[in-house]
Amino acid sequence: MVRLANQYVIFELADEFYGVDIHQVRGIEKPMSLTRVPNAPEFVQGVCNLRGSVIPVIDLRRRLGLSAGTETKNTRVLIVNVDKYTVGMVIDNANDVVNINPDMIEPSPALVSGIDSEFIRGVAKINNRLLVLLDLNKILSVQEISDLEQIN
Amino acid sequence: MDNKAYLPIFLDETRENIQLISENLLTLEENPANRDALDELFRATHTIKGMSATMGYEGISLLAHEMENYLDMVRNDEVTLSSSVINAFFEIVDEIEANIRSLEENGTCKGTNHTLINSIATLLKEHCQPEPDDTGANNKIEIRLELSDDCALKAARLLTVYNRLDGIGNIVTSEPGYEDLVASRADKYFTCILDTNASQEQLEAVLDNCMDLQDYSIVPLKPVEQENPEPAPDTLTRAKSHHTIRIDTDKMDHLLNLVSELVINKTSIQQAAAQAPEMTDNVEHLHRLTSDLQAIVMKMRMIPIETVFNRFPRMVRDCSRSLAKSVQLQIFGGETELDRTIIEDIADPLVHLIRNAIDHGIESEEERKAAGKTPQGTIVLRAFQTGNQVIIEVSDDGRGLDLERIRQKLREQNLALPADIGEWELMNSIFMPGFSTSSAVTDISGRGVGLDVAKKSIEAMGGTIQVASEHGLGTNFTIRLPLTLAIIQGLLVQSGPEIYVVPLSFVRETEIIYREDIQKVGSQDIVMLRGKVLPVVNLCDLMQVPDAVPGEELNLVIVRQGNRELGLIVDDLLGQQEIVIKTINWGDVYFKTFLGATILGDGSVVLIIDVNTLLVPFKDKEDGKVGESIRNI
Repeated sequence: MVRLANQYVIFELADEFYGVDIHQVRGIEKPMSLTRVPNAPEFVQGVCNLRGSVIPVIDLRRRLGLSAGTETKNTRVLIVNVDKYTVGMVIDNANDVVNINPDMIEPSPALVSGIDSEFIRGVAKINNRLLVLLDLNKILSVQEISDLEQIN
Repeated sequence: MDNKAYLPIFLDETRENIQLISENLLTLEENPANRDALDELFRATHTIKGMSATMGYEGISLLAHEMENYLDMVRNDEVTLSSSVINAFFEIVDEIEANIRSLEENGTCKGTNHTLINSIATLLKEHCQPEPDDTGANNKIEIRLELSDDCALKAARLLTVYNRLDGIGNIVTSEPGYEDLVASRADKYFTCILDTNASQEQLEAVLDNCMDLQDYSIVPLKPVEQENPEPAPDTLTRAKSHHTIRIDTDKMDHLLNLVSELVINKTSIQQAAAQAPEMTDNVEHLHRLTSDLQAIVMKMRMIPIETVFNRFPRMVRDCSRSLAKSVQLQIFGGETELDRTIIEDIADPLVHLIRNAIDHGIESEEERKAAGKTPQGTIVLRAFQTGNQVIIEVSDDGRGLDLERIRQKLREQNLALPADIGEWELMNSIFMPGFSTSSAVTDISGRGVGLDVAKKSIEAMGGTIQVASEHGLGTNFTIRLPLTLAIIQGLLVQSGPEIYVVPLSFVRETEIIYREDIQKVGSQDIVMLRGKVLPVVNLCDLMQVPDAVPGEELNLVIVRQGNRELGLIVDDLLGQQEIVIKTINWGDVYFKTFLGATILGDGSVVLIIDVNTLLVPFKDKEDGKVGESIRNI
């Protein structure tokens, strides 16, 4: 299927705007009660009960190396599908869904808002807002994480 | 008609029939006179022929047709079932199976293997007399008779019998033939196939009137099978004998999920209803209904392990032949039931263990005789249920593991080898990746992959495998599997503010100890319990729960796997509960110490502790009880 414009879900994190491909988003939930998982990587907040399935929830700020945040009434959990896994990501605020043509996306500059460029698919400018498009496959890849664990 | 829709059913049923054929061929090999086995063999072959013809798979149909022809001759005692004939039949079965596999993988048949059909036809012809001419026969009766020894002019007497029989019907074929009788070439035996409408009584009357007959038998033959049989009778007998329907496994899984949700919901209703006494009866009823529903769904998923075991007699036969060893396989407990998902995955590891046993375990006949054993080796495959687990044992009475050779092999492969390694640990190091003691790489085994793969796949099912062996006496592999993957009995324990589940199948007992009982050996806490040393760990420490409640009395949950034991100190025991295992769908990388999670009645998620992983660092306190299970063979 040829898609002329890709749709992205836009959300806020540490006062910056980010986008993820809408095809990977399964839903947006209010924060749920979490069960801590001992001995798991730091950015794993815990597991939650999402309508009968147990899914892990990660602190996206931590995963991206941003400063820690506090939960507000706008805090949401973005439920995303990566490979065959379903994972929740804590975000500050979910804003919008926008169309972005592939030709509007530029490769990421060397260092955007302090995030490892490996996690970034590109940046786009919408209504004078700089939007960082994230590569969820990299952020949530089990392989990446196990490599990370080995380094640590 | 689009046959594609029926392909899965066709494949399933043909596999079942192939299995039936193999079983009955093996039975016939042992006891060629077994009429029931022959009949069943015939039926299965016929079904394959009919179904594959309907589906348009000429290749398979032709193979089955050939086989059926010869089976018919066997049934009419025209061919004896020598082992080479059975081999030929097995070759046909293999060819059909290859076609089925090809159908499944590529959607097309392999095509007709005329060379095979011809070579088998030639082989079978060598073993049989010419096919009877069976034109237009509808009521064929086989008559065998024997003249008394003192009968003079036997040929003349037989000629009279021949003519009388021919009078009430038409003799299709006879031995000796008419010409032989006329030429006086005959002994006291006479066999013929008579095409007649006469009843048994009429025939008996005719034969009773013949003189000098010592004995005779009248056996009606079944009508010759038609090329395009009506499927109706087959379906009828099938429905009668099984009373089953086929269900898509996805639907079964979905049903199980729904029931699991129901169980969770029921628990929360139970808790809510504790405040409302007028609800007690209804809730009690709901509880019983859900339990029954759950039990039946679980039962529906259970399959007897026979379905896996059944393929092994054939495998052992072929495998031992190709290695020129004499091996008998004994199977016990085939009726033991396991969850469908486990059944599917257990076959490969078992194949590997049995091949290993034949290849490495069982010695050659000469070697066995020299060691004072029976020339024929024995492999015992046994399954049984204990509590929440099913145990499968593969034992052989072969040469056993050579510890010295294992030690040497480990060194050669530069695999880690602690200096003070115990006998039991040394034996169980054969499961390490890359390990193989076989000096020659054979077809059967010895490539150094396999045992570790077998172990991995068993562990993936939540099971364990261990080996015990005594040099010269034999080897015993013990596989422990959870009865079902989905719902288990769990012990809920509390550590600080958190709740965890310990699968009850791993819990040996619970005990109360006092803080002052805990001693230190090196860095390890231990307690002496009934004269035995037991390592203990505080669950709070394991789970990094910040503060454990200090107290003098401590709850100890003793978990056990194989011969490893560990005491878990917990703050509180919350009781035993049926729990539904939910896998945390993000791979093992993350949650190593947990089997999964479960959802309690209040909707909260609780993690299930993987006892296997917990026990890994704890050394065995005693070597495996080696000889015991082997001597039980």
